[in-house]
Amino acid sequence: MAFSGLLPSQYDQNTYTALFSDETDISCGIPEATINSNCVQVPDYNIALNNKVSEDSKEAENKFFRWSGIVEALTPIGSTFSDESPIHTNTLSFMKGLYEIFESPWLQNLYSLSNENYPEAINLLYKRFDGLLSKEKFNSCDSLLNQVNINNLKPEVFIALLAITFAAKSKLPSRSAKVTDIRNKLAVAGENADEILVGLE
Amino acid sequence: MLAKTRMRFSLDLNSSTPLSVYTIVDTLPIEPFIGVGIKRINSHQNHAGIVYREDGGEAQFLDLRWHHQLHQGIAKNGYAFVLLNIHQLRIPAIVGYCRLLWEENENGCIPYGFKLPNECFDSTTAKWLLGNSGLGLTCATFILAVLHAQRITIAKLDDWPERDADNVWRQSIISALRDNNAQKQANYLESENSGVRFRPEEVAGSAASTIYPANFQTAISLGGKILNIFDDMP
Repeated sequence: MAFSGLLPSQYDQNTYTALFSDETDISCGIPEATINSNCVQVPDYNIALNNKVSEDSKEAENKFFRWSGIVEALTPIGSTFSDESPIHTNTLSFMKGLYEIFESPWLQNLYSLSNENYPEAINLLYKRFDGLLSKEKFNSCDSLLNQVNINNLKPEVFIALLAITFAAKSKLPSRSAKVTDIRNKLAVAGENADEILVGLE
Repeated sequence: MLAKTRMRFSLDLNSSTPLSVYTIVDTLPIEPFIGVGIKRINSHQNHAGIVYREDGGEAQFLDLRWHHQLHQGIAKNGYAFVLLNIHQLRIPAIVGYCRLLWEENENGCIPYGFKLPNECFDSTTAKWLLGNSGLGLTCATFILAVLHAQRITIAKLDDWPERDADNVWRQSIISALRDNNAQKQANYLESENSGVRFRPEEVAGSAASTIYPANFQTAISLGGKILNIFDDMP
């Protein structure tokens, strides 16, 4: 699937700049994303976002809530945004849609590699998280960390996840729960969690 | 060529778990490992790097050879190798980090210098701070820095003393940098007129310790025993 999105016409250039500042972290954790004056561009996708968070989504206890920004328009490539375009008005479904488009394939790839070739899974993991952390995209990093299901990873890989995120642990609220999950999983497997996790918690 | 029986040396560490020093690459374990390799350059200088094996791969050697000269290749004979005493499940993460470092720095952007290994990363992002800042590492502190980034502390850093002989060595490095057209780096290092030096044999000795972080005396003692192996090598 390919999408393009243009900003709604009611936003002027100054608004675009404000919306697309580094502070708003609108790339949703997509390291390849680039930002120009009126849209976010990622390979094969152009997405228009704003940084308003609706009360509905705040109340929704959903993991997708962590995404910063709300998709304002997401329309097939070749069409342009207008008030008549098929706009996804349900914020949550937008979040899910974004997740499915961008993160799910990456995570599925990570899980597959973990089983088939775990050094490559670690390589994939490191490059993604290192890219986010180097750009100080802590919200995106935490979103992604939150999405990782350690039950789909070999121990070698989820230990690498703790290693690459350690330095930023104070900026990653999801990490402490992940540490607990990993500690419990190692204990259930009969491993010495204290020895394995030394320095990583 | 060393005889088979001399390919692997057992050191008496006064421990119930004797450690081994490997001198032939082919005798290194088949399963993934991470360790330190050291070789004698001359009577005054040794060189060390990280030796590791990924699952199913050949043993690799990653070392900072000189200013902006990070190198990785297949591990070769001529070194004494000691393996880290860590849980097997921690090894792939460190090995993966070595690979990432190499891929991101193979153009040689890691400078040579005298910084402590725990001063080389941003405390939040873990980003290398070396860049063009004038900071830098030696072959020995590069090893400690990589392990530090992976939360493995093999040497008790604050236990190392400043030694007069290290200032002589430091001046020789600065002169060599000037001779190699690295004036800016030499000037920077000259402004750091003191500091602790972690010698390659001390890092190898720390790696050989059964308890981490190794203190200075343990590192000196084990490092000396490892270097003695070179007396028996052809």
